[in-house]
Amino acid sequence: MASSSDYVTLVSNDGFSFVVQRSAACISPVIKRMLDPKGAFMEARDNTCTLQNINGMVLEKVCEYVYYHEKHKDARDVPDMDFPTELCLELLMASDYLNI
Amino acid sequence: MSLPSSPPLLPEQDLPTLPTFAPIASASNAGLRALNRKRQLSDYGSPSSDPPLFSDTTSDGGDASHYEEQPRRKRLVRGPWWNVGKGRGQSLRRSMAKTERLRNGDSGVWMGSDESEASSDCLISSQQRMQELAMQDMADEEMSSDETLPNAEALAARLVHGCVDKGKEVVDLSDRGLIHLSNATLAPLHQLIRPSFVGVTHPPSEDEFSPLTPSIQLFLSRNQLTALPLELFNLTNISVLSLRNNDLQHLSPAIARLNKLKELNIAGNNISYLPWELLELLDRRGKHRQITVRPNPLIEPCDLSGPSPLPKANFTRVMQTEELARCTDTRDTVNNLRCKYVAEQGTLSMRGELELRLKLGRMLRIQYLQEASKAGRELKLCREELIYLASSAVQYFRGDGTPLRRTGSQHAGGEEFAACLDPTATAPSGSGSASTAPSLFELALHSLQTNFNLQDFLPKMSTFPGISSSLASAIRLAAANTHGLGNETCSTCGKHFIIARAEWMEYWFHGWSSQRELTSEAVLPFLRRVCSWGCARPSEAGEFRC
Ligand SMILES: [Zn+2]
Repeated sequence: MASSSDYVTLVSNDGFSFVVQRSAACISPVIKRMLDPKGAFMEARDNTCTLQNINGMVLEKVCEYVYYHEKHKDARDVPDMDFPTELCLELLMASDYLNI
Repeated sequence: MSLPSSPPLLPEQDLPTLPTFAPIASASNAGLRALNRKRQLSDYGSPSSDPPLFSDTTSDGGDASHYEEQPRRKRLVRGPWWNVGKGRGQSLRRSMAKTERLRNGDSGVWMGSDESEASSDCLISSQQRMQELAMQDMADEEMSSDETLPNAEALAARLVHGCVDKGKEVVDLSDRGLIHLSNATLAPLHQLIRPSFVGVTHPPSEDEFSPLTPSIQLFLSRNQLTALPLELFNLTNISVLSLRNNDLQHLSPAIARLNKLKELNIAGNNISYLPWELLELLDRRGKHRQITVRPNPLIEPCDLSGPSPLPKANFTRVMQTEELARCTDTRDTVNNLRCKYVAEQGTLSMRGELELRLKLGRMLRIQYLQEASKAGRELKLCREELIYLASSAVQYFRGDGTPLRRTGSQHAGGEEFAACLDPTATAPSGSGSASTAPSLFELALHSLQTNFNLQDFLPKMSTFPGISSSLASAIRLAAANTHGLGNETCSTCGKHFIIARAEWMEYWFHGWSSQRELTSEAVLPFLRRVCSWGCARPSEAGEFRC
């Protein structure tokens, strides 16, 4: 069954798609809700989540972050994550939207 | 399908830069920002760093050869600038009424004029004159309307300059009717040096420099201050700070910067809780520090009025030292006491619980001290005990700083900081919710804060598409921190953060070991704020500071 897949696909508004671990992606309550098999969203059926307001460059960083978070969630000293400064406002808005 | 509360699309471009964000997005703005900062610093930092001497030569050194051919006669002008030229006294003083002028005004330097008589005059008795002038001003103030005369803060600024001029370490601004105090007024205190009585026949050695570091005593008592200027917390040479009888509602965590503080008085304000950093200040071992907090409307963990619910004979009795030494598991002992109480008297009230915890903390502390002395370690003790009692329920915040809804109704109304037995009961569940990793929101906000001039961006923010109100307030906070005292420090891990992810109140006993029962006078509330949900770890029963 596809709905219980360990991986999900996140698609940006400009058509880039990223395959990420479900557990990592679901730190975002928004993505989690969209992928909830019990929910009413179409996304849950094919495990694909289209984010209409996030472009490919930003979504790539978002994916990098969810893995960073997955890796460091139990760590004591967490190193900061770097990203290009010109992306920071868009990343801020994306993280605000995704609640991560 | 529409996404809930999704920001509108960003303007589409081939390059994912920030389209309407040009003024702050370009790299060249880094320089602009540095400039802005510089200007800010020089606003109040520079003038009185000069010695009270001034050369009035107008050549700015641009034409060195010309300068050598025709050396100009330099004239030295000593003393406060407002003393120079009797005829100007009136207008000068009037101009001092404007704080703006005063900001750039100088204590010991006057840009020399062309009248030579006046300047030689000044060399004679500048100090005496200054005093006369100050007296005259005060008399004037009482007699006539306050429109033409210096306001409270201008007078305070003059007193500060006077102290800097004379190397006077006691800066008494109490009872001045101050309702506001600006950075510029206090900034000259950075230039205060202790007067040296060593002959100036030779250049001072390193040893002779250190006694020049002043030990500033700043008295701001009996004014109507509702806030403190940030500059105050940069004056690290303050040893005595009295804020008694003002209208302060909070004490900034930045108080911890004043690490030479020996005496702090915040009594008689409108303060309902203390910053966590003050606990650290109370705790610094071996340093005798007098901190006066009461009276203030400090919040209480629970009702502490009336007698203790614990029966005296069995519960609050003083443990003998030998008895304690035999006591292998102190926590068990206290648990047994709790069970005994419940069996004999019924449910233990919060007050009773706190008193048991106080007892536990005391026992553990004494045991710790006994072990330390057995091991031959010498401990410099605080004269007062500092023992953790309880925490309020932890309030968790989302990445953007908005509060997570609390479950249960026990926190309604003004009870939000009441002590509870399980402070982390409402902790968010799910994968990664106990993480100490920063949120993407925090990381991006921090990057925005360090790489761009947010002050420039703020006015344009409302026109920028897709910025939610919580995001806007987060950006405003980040901007304020840049120009203020920096970001907050996590009370658990020490990391700096912009958006707090959790906060709670901790109640600590601060009093004498002879005190058997809890009274509200002996309990202090400290607000703890942390960087992540994972750092939301309140202190545990039995914790103490020595
Ligand atoms: Zn932390």
